[in-house]
Amino acid sequence: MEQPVIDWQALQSSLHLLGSSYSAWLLTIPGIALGMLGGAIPGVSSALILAIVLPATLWMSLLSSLIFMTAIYTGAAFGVAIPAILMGVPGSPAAVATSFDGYPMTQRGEHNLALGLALAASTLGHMGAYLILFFGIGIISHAVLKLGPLEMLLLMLWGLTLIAALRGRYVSRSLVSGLIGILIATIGLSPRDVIRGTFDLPELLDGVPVVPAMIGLFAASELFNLAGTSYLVSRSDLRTVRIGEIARGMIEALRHPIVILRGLVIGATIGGLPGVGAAVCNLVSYAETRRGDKHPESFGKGNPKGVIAAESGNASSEAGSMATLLALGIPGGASSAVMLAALSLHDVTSGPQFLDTSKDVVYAIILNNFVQGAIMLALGLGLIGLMANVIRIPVRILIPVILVLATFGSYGLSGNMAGPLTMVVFGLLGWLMQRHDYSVPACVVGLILGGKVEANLLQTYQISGGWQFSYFAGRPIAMVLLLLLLFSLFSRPIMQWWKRQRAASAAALQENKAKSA
Amino acid sequence: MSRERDHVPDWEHLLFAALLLAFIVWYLWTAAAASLTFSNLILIAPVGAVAAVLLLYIASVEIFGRVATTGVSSVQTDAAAGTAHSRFRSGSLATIAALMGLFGAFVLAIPYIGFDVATFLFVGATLWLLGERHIVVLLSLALGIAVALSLAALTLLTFPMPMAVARAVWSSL
Amino acid sequence: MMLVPKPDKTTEQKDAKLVTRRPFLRMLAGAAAMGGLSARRAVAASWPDRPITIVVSTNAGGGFDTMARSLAPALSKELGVPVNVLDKPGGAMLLGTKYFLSLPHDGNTLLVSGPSPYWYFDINKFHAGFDLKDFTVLNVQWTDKTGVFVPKGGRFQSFRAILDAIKAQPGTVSCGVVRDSGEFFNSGILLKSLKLPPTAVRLVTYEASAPLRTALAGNQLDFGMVSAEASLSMLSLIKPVAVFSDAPMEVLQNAPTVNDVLKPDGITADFVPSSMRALVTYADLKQRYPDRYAKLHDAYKKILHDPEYIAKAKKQAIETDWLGEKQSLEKIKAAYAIFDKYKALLSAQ
Repeated sequence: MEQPVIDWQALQSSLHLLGSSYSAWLLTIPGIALGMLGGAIPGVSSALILAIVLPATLWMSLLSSLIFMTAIYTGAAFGVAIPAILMGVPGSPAAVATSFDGYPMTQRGEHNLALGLALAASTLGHMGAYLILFFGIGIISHAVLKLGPLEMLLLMLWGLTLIAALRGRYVSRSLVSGLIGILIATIGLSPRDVIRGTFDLPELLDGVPVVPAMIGLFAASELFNLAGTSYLVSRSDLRTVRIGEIARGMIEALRHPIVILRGLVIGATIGGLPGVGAAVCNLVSYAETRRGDKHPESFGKGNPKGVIAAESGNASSEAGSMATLLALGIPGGASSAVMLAALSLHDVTSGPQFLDTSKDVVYAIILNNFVQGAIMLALGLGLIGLMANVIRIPVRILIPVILVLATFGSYGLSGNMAGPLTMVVFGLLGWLMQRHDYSVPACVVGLILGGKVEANLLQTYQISGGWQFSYFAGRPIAMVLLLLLLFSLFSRPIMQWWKRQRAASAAALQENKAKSA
Repeated sequence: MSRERDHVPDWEHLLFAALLLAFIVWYLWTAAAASLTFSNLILIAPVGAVAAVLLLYIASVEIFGRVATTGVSSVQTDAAAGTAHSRFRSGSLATIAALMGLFGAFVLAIPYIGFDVATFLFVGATLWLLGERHIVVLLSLALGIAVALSLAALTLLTFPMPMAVARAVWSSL
Repeated sequence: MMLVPKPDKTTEQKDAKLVTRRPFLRMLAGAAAMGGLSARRAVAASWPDRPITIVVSTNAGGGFDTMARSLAPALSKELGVPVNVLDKPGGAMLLGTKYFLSLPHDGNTLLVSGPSPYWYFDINKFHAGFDLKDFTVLNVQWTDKTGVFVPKGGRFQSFRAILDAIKAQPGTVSCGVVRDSGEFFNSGILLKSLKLPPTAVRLVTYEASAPLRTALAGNQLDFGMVSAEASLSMLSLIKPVAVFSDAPMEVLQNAPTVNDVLKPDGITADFVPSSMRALVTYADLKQRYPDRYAKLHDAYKKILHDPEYIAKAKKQAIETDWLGEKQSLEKIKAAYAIFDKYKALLSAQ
């Protein structure tokens, strides 16, 4: 089916749609604000906010409800970075990597800078990804279809190699963290319906709930450790909110366009894969930037590039998941599932034909999201200015408030105490892990990816008839992915080894010359 | 090759490592008992095995000390390890433990005494633990947060959160 | 604007239990009462007098959720109170169904769930702790059929070709099914009817129908067996080549029935329906509150015979069968009988 890259007629019609739909525009600003505020509360995910507003969308037009929901999604994508930077407590798994370098910056008193970096990276990543979506929604959705379980497995393995990149002082301990994270991820129903490790609790049949577990691992353990301190930023002279510095951070982000671009591409492409959400894109973008950097050891200690990479990856994944949602009718995760419900509330059967019949609506959403980026800059500056004052609140007040909020959030999504209880258990685990130098981020990576790795591994086994070579031989994309995986893993160490060999042989040559002279 | 001298095993670490090992063994055992098939164990068996081996290695290093290749590097490792732990040791382990205990108690208590009451008690107790001594500030913060969040739970959440009095008060307004 | 109506008495009753058992809280509650608790009318003269909730045991966006959300406004109009939908997914419908059972059995809560095949799995494989007789299935409104689909441009373009290839080269043809589904059973039953071992087909299991349809659309599999109606949106990329049903279906381009294709082999295969979506209430509602039961039943029946609702539902591809209680139960039990017959497939790896 030949499709022009840009359907001009649909574009015109979409502009008309946007021009005449006042409610859509009226809803954009509150949507972004709601998303940002909600996202900034650890444990309250965009999926929860979307689920709460879903009934209200019944009274809105299709375009308005989709714009309202994507606005919330956009706002939340940035909102979750705020507590990640200010307190080391990511608002959701989508900001895990942001905290790696964002929080150390806060501890140095550079929180204004970090927030500015995050806002700029988030906005640029968001807008850039939607730009890609505008031209390539057809391409992206077709590419998604071409990936079978083998390709997905390789992508997941690539994600798992992050564990090696995220190691702390002890390689062996971090590996153990990651492996245990993988094991925990397999608790519940196996892909072949075997019940594993659930203590006979039906609540665990679908596995350990990831968001509360992650909140527990990061948040609770961070917060417990703050028990002795008075303020998040120890030096009182640095404990200020300066809009000027925030703006400086935003401009600083522009000095690293490659980092932003990398995150953008990662989010727009793999963010569209079902099950691969902002959390994975956030981590992968961070790890790839760190891997390709001249000073990887500076990451995790307050390197601005870390914040930029993480936020760019996070923000751009929204566009990716919208691609598969609108073009294929496939929800990528909990948030897009709610949007799917909104679509059916408006009598729309989503699927490939939606793209054909309602391209103007799709374009309208994309165009509106461009503008959302600009709105987010303005709103974000104002909101950050407000929320950054959190650092002036004494820690003894912050700790109970955040813990209660997180409990609230993790109850809200599942409706039972499984969420909050998971948070407690993983809070304890996270604290113990930190105390003995077992990398918590490695565990989180294993937790997020473990289930998918097993599912795809098993499907690859099934679909290849038990590892029949004929299956693997006929899959060129998989070969390419495998080469990319090996390249990104080994290229740097091999280059360094090669350099050392040449330096050594050059030195030996010099020595011989000197001797013979 | 010689072992480091004066290496003191960190028993806390050993206990934690043993706990992790116990989890791995238990999990693999119950999974195999549920179904001893290739499709069930394809991932968790190798992952568990590697993790278990690593933990045994970590434990042996902890007990016997790292094999010293040069005297300097092992001293450096020890010193680095020492500073890592001291970060936690100076920060009042008792306070942290009490905080964790309070949080656990809070979550466990919610279905029994209601989210509203539990939040009030938890915030109040934690503020006291962490050093807040102005009773007025403490009580008003605890009450304020309990009221605000209970209100949010009643109006926003689709699942009813267990409450002691908040729901009755709210529906009477 | 309140997005969720004020809490109803059922949860108040639960809270009341909480309070009366603990003296300290009783004190607090008494204090609150003195603050101006208005006394609720002891027994409501007319029912319903508070919002009704429809619990859906899957997540947002799926067929069950869509069906519930289409019924909610219609029920609201009939009964005169707001009707909300509450998604409670988890454990192949187990959590939502159990949650429904844990609420007061007073008619203020309804359930949309899948008695077949999901409850069968819940009861027999996941130790659900509930049974069919704990419920009154008001009506099985929407029953999917299993369709056999191939990718457009895939290796095989007819069901006959697939069957021949499976027989000629066992272990080379791949088939996708959703793991807890009627299709999973149907694939096993089909192979058994053909007297072929389970390994004759490369069975690839998926967690949900969406990833399966994606795999088919992307030509990752030779064929797949998945709920027919749910696949309608993908008809530009996948092609129906057979249907597990008694007669061809127009929406599936009149693809032949499986047994039609099997006729030359002289075989007739059993099959179970793909998904039954039903509106459910409590088994003891009829005796405890017969008037409430009658009101719910009649309102629901009226809606499913209302041409306006039927037209609206059709736009969303929702079926509007009215079988009534007795026939629905028979249908479910018939499906369970087939499941029981092939129970060994449940533990097959």
